Amino acid sequence: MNDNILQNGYPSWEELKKFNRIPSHERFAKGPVAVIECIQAIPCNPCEGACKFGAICVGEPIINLPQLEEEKCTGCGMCVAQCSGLAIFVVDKTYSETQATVSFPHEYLPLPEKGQTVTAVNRAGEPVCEAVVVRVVNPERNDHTPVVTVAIPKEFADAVRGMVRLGMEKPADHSCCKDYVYKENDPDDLIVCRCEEVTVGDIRKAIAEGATSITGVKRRTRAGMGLCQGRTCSKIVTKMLSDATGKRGIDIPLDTARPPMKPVTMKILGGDDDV
Amino acid sequence: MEKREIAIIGGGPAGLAASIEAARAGAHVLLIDENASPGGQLFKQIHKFFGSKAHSAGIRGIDIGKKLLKETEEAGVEVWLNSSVIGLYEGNNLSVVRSTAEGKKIVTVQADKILICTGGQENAINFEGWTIPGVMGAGCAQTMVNVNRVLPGKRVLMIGSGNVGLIVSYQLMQAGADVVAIVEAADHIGGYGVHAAKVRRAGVPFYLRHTIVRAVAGENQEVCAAVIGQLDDQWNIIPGTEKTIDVDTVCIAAGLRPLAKIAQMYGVKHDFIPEMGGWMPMHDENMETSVCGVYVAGDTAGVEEANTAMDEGRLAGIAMAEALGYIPGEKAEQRKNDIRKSLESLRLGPFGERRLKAKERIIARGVAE
Amino acid sequence: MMSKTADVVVIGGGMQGTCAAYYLAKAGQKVILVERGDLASGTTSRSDGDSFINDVPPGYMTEFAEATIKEFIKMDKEIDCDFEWVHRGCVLLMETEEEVEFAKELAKAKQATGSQVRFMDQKEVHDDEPNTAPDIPGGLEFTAGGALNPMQLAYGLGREIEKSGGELMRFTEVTGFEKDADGRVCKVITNEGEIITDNVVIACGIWSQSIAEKVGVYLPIHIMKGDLLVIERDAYITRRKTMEFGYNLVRNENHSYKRKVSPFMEKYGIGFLFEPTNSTNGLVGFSKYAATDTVSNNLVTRAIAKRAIRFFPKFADVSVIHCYAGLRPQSPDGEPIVSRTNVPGVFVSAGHGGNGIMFAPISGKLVSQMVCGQKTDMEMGPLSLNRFQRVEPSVTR
Repeated sequence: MNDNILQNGYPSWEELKKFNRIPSHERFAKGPVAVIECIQAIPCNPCEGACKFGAICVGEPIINLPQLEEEKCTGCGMCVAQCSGLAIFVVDKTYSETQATVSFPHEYLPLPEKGQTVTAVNRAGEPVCEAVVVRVVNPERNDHTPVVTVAIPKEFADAVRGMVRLGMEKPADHSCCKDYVYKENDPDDLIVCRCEEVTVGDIRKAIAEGATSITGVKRRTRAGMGLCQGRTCSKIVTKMLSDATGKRGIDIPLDTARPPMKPVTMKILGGDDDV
Repeated sequence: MEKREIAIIGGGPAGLAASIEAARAGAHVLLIDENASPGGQLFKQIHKFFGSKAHSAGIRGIDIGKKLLKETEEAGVEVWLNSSVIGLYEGNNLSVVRSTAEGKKIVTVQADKILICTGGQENAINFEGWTIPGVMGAGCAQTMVNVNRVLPGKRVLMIGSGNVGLIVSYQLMQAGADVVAIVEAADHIGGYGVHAAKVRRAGVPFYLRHTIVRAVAGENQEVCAAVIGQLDDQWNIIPGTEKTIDVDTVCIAAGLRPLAKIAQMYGVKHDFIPEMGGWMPMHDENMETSVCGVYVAGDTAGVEEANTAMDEGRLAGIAMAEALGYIPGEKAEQRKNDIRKSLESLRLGPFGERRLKAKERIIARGVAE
Repeated sequence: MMSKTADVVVIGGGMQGTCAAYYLAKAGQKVILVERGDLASGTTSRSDGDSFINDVPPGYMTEFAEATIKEFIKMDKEIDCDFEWVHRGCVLLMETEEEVEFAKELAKAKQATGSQVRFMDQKEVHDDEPNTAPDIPGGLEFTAGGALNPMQLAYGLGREIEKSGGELMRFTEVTGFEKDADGRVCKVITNEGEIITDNVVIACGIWSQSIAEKVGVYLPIHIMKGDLLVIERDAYITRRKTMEFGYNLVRNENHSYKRKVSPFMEKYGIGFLFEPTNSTNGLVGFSKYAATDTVSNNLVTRAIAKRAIRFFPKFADVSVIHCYAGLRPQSPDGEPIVSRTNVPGVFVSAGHGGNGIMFAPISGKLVSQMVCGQKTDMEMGPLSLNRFQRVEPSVTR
């Protein structure tokens, strides 16, 4: 559970290495190549069919990680837009003496234009360097997954995997900690059943008085008797019962299902000539 | 009273897939959906689907929905839209509030076979301020953005890092909002790594072992900030770890549970299966419940995802057509086995194996009382 | 398991059982109340809640009703529980001129026995509640009687019983009884142990018959189902309980009268009733037919809606948010059984039909008086089990 992908939401370099996701130095030296940053066994294989050179293999079962035959890969980038997880990139470390290019899927509007300078980000979304857009490819077969190629200093080729989306040049401010004045409410005042305005305190009292089920709570407090028929609050009441009594899932039965499943006017309900 | 061979309640991925299979086999199928268009969650799912080619992988949910709609039409499925099933009564009698040119009217439909695929419902959590405008279910936010094309807010806090929390965060950003953070009570991200990587790359931080403490109302009585805090081993907030974050929207992605009230009211045997969202109707390997002729599929038969829902729908559709004599036993068995294999493949791997085991347990247990 | 001792064991934690146990505990008896589930989990939670003297024919039953209303008023003052008692009377509406004539006669008969009842003509009815259908030709206004929340009262009485030293054994099932050499009941056996006792009160609604059987008492009780609709909040129809006159007329005074209703409504005993509640989610009823399940009946609920619109057209645009159904434990003649039995020490308070909530306080009080050997407030003959000894259950309705 200490995996970076599970902790931080992106694969670390070590994880990518461990799962053999990074093409060899030799292959990078030959030109553009796909980097498939998919490290979890999930049931998915469109990438396999996306490569017309047969360079990507998933096979059976479909939770296999896609394997790249790097010699077959031409770095054409056809697979980038076909990956449902947007986890394939094309990296060209031979773009120029000092620069590399990285191609990545970019499903945000507005799209950057060729020649535009953008801010390249790494897998963690942190700005890495300035980048110049080399290419924006968005043919119909990409089905609204444009692929943007940016040129960046070579040393960032393994780090850059996207760009700050336009109109959001300043990444969202997460640190802001304005001190709001708020009333510290008695937790007993917290609403549980919105329809009938039943509070945590009401339900605690009902449980203390002997309610042992959702129905028992409902009859004592009206929680779940209102318009939504407990669709919202029954889960919260279940948790409160569980916390208070130590009962678990199977010992807390569902409340009765009663018609109508949705409110219906009497005109419609009574509009039957058969009765 | 109207009579039909098959009535399918809910036109989401499971219902559409089932109706196509059964109608193609020759059965007269009535599909009832309470929305203006069938498709259920598919029309909210603007992302490309996972799975294999047979599961339309790589195609966006919304386009799969369009394809299925076309197929239902071609297969001759009768579709009642804006129509709600309000009850299921003795004798397989469905009470339906049907939309007609003259307005809504109540109709009783008696069907030989009934498939209940009404989907799942979002779980609520309550914290101080959860009733303030601006706090909503993630699914609700997704509907606003992708169906109604309304941005619920500009600065969003997402509670929950399962696939729903991750995908909705991504789609809110695509629609022009900022997702300020994703908060997760567990010690790891719940959804697929590739979904997490998409939002992380866009600069969204994750707060693991954290939860929302309160939503704060501004002068306009709508959300203006949220307070989050770190959890200890007993799931209590550690004092002093609270952070206040400026947001105008708080989305709750605290999981789903099967919505099976219609099956429950009809006396279908239920059991508590934590891996599938809790209480759910029991079913056999044909998706038939303890009540003969009543089937379940999709999230109603345990919360999973659209691909498994479509497969379960197909399975139920073939099983119902077979039971009505439209598909010979041997041929039906072969097709059902293919689907069962396909379902199994979707439930492999670290994200699927708990569901695979749960489904195996459900089927082994059987539906007999 | 240890055995317990009690002066009296009350079986049933619904309206009858909690009321009986409450009066017994108040009278100084050591009471144990045994209930198979939670309090108020049977018919008590599946009923409307009211107490009106219009629900019964003139004479003894009206006296009985007046006595129970007095008890409700007393309870409302004495016990520490808001059971939503609203004492504001009710109105019965006629549908035809023929009913108007019957109503006028009935008003006279009730007035003669001191009931506060007033006949209202068409104009008065509409001035009183403008939502009434324009063609309703008249109404009867009863000023005595009120509405309550039976579940809250049962829970409240449960607390009172415990306060008076009584014990509630919830989630406990009675499995048998023992009698002493004289044939008097001496022990109640439950799945949670035995209770040594001198007296037993059987007050468990629709289950009374099967429990009584275990101690050798035959109770002629059959089950009549009823459906109710709950409407959305804040939909104002009337300020007080309103029901149709015709149904009561057929039941109480003129069995040969035919209401102007469809054969379906006739078959399922469908009539109109509206009860505003404290929560403002009003209740709309009703139906009465032989069935033993508590799943709302599809067509019956529709017929109730149709009938409601007949009396108050405004109902048409009001939403029903849910329906429920309850089972009335009914005696062959439809009146309660509050009685001693052939087994010494065994008493019954059951079979109240559709008036169980209404008659619970007075029934409980009378049972308590019998158990304690006190003089009863009312003559017990008309409520006695003996009245059925020659009636075969199969031919009763």
